[in-house]
Amino acid sequence: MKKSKVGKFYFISIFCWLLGVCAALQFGAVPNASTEIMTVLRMPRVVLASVVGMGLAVSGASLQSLFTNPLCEPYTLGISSGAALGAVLGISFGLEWNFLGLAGSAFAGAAVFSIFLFGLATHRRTNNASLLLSGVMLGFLGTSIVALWISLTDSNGMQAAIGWLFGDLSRARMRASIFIAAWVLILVGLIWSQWRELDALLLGEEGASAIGVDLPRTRRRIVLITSVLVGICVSSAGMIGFVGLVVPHFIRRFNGSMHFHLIPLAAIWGSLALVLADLGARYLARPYELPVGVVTALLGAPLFLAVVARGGGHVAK
Amino acid sequence: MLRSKRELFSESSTASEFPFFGVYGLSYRWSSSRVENPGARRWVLEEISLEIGRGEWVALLGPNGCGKSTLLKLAAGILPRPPQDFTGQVRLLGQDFLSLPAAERAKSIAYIGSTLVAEFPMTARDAVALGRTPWHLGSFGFHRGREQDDQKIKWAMERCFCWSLKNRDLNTLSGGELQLVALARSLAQGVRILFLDESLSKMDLHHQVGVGKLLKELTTEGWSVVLVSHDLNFALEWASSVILLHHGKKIAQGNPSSVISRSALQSLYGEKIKLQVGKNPTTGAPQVFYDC
Repeated sequence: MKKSKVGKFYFISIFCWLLGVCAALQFGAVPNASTEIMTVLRMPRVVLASVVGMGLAVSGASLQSLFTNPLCEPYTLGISSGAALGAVLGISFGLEWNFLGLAGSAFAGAAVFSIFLFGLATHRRTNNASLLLSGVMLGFLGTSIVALWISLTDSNGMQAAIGWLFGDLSRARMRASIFIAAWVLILVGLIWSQWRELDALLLGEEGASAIGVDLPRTRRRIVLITSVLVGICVSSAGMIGFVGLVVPHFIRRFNGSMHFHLIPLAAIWGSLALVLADLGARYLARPYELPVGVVTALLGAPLFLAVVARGGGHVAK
Repeated sequence: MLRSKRELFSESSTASEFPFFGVYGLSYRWSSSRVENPGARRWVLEEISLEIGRGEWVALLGPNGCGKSTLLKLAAGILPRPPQDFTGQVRLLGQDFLSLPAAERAKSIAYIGSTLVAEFPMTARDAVALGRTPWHLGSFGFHRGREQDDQKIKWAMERCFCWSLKNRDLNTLSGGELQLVALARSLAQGVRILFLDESLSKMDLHHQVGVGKLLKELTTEGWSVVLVSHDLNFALEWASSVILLHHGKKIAQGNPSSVISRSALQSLYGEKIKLQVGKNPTTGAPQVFYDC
């Protein structure tokens, strides 16, 4: 793609993002909201939605490339199930009224699963396929323990857990949002700095080693960075599917797969997608609120299918 | 640890007292998780030793499964080498090649497989540009020498007859075109040794001859080529020396006309096919014919 064309794409992306953020601040459950509602209630949500969307899209893009598998997304490695497990345990121990308590227990769950995966990735003889399979298995394990826990305990706190399992941005507070934003930006920057290795991985494992990429080391790095990133996103906003899977594919269709541009563009569009989805979740069924994960899937899936059905090319191979 | 690139490849360096590239006593077997019956693990390669001179074009010939690709991948340092399953040494100008970092290895040797895979949309030029990766790993992107990269990429793609494909998506290219792009990537990589593993097999006659001429030219400029091919006649036409591999053992090495004989080929491919060795009427290179 020509340079001027990429520049134009960046310009349009940032413009759309600003529009989206303004819209998300302007509209909500209350019409003609005061400045106070905007800054105290909506602003933290918009910031959180922005960075969580960014984190999910970027980790999706890098995992798809690491495993050269278009079906990968942040949840494929099972880290989110670890977070869910941690959160459900946290809720049943009565931590749900405290934002940091819930996020903390979710993050601890994600960390336990990530450490296991990281250990596996460090093993010299593990190849990408077996790492991916182990991640999927971990995911099933986590989800089934969560289901078991929910079906065995019959308490009102489980309502909160179920809400959390479909994504929930309503607990956002300004200070926590800024803290999370800082971490997500740092980790996204770290992934971006690996763009050469990620590009090389598009040629497959052997192809990447043939052009000088130290495969075990790269795999360790990407698994480590994305697990922390996904852990942060999931523990602060719950399980929000789809953004991480679909946004990178959209960018690939429009701008190719080279990560120097793919990562920042996926960051911008992932951020925009979740901000708009959160706006939809607050606005569509007011005064009630929809789970944001449901909105992303309900709007995202038909949109993506429509693009594929229009035959504008292939998504992956 | 590594002498500078210029020193490594300059003609006048003292390094010429060492052989250009050598493999010594290399043995290898698949690790137990990759075979069905771990008790019956046989050695895929046994005590292979060979040397390749500067500017030499070696054809590595042998039947399916005799270990040709494995040998090339091991020598290039691409396959993992668990200590219990691997012994031997690989030396480039006297240096222990396999102990170099992966990026340094990729600056000296390019391994090219039989096809170029890309799971996601990518243009041919992007794919060739990936060949520059080993020179920039670890730098974020604002490196100097971007123009030099562009020149190198253009040069490589023009030499490999694929500059006109530069904006095409890889998924729209034919097998032969993909092989041209893969070859261009290895030229852009800035190496001096090319390991071609069936990398010309899908090219049409025009491109095969063109690439043959190109590689011959490169060997006169000091590049070395190792070619694995089942197209015996192509390999024998161009190669300056031949290595025969059978069941993981080297059975012969030398110039084509002295090594290639009916008995040598029948020990490779079995007695069931009837082979004749003749000569190309124009170039005099040995050629292999078979009776049906």
